[in-house]
Amino acid sequence: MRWDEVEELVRAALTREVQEASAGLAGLETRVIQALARRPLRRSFLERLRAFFAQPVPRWALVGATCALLLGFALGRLTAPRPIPAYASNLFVIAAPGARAVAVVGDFSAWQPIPLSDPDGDGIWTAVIPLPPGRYEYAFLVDGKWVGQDPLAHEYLRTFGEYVSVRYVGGSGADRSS
Amino acid sequence: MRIALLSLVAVVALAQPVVVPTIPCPTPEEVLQFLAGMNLSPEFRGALASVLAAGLATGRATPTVSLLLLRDLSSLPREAAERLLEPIRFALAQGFIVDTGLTGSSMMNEVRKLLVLGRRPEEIEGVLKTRLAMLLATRSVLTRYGLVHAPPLPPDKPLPPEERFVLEVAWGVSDFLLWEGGTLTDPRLRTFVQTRLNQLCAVGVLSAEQCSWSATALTLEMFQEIGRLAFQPERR
Repeated sequence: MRWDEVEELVRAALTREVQEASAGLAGLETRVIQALARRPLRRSFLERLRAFFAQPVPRWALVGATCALLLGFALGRLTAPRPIPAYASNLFVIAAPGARAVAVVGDFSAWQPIPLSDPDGDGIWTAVIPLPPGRYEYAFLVDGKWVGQDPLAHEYLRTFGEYVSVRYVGGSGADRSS
Repeated sequence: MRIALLSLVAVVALAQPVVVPTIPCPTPEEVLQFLAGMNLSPEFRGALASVLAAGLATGRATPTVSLLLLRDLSSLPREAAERLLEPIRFALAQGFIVDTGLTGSSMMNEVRKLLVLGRRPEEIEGVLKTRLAMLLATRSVLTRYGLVHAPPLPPDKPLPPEERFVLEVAWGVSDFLLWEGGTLTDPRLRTFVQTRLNQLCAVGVLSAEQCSWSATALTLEMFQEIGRLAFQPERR
């Protein structure tokens, strides 16, 4: 075989290979660009943070966040355990169905009436009074009438024939009704 | 949206327990100013003002209860008001606590209680005189037994912590005799006073040292002696 014949055969083989591969190369550029477009950009944390804050904040998002914060605060107040305060809340409660006005008087108020409330009208009148540790004499006034025997009292005294309830608040003698 | 926000704020506010507001606290100057305007004799008013000012400054009285009491008594005739204030003035002059504020029983709070109960001034005066006699007798007996070391101090001197112990023992003995119908020979006297003091220890009103005295040093005989001294002041 002559040299020029070999060269002709090689050229023909290469041409055939190029023609066969060219079918696979069709649209290669487009496919590469598409693949690059699909690939997420890997940005640094700071860039991502900056981008997040660069976006305009919709008003509803701000309002929603405020609401969530307030709701969380309210729920937290209701459910979170609290440290024992120096002034413990003490519940004063009396059943007085049909009464028009109920109050509690005692050492803690210098015997000034503190009104109890019955918002649902079931005849159970209540008040929560914060008290520091101590011994407290008290009584209820139901429509102005002295009611000195509170079932929740720790002890009773009789003053000029009228009962006065006594409650100890604080320490191991803490009020059992609170 | 505004309504929703206001509703949420309301929810937050209502989440707190409904607590009755505390009694407003006046200043000592307001108390003394009110006393200066009361219908009392100038001599008595001056004597009371000086000891009350000192007592308010040293914790033997509090502005809140003092002012409420003076307001109550201002509606009484002058003689009646002076008769009710005299035991308090005398007790203050002797350095006793006459008002523990809103945290317990004392002479001033007792007057307010008895007024709410509708008792006559003469009856209240009798109770106050008994309380005063008990205070004097208690201090005397506890000093004799070595449980109170400090001598009686005038009201302008700092309040010794022992005075609260004197007050509570005196109050316990007199409650037993006044309101429980007890007598000095009744063995329940010791139990009554001891139980009271134990409770006061449990809630932290009395100091550890005072609780120790209460548990070990106080006897029925001491309480009986307090009662005898109170009703026979010549032995004091």
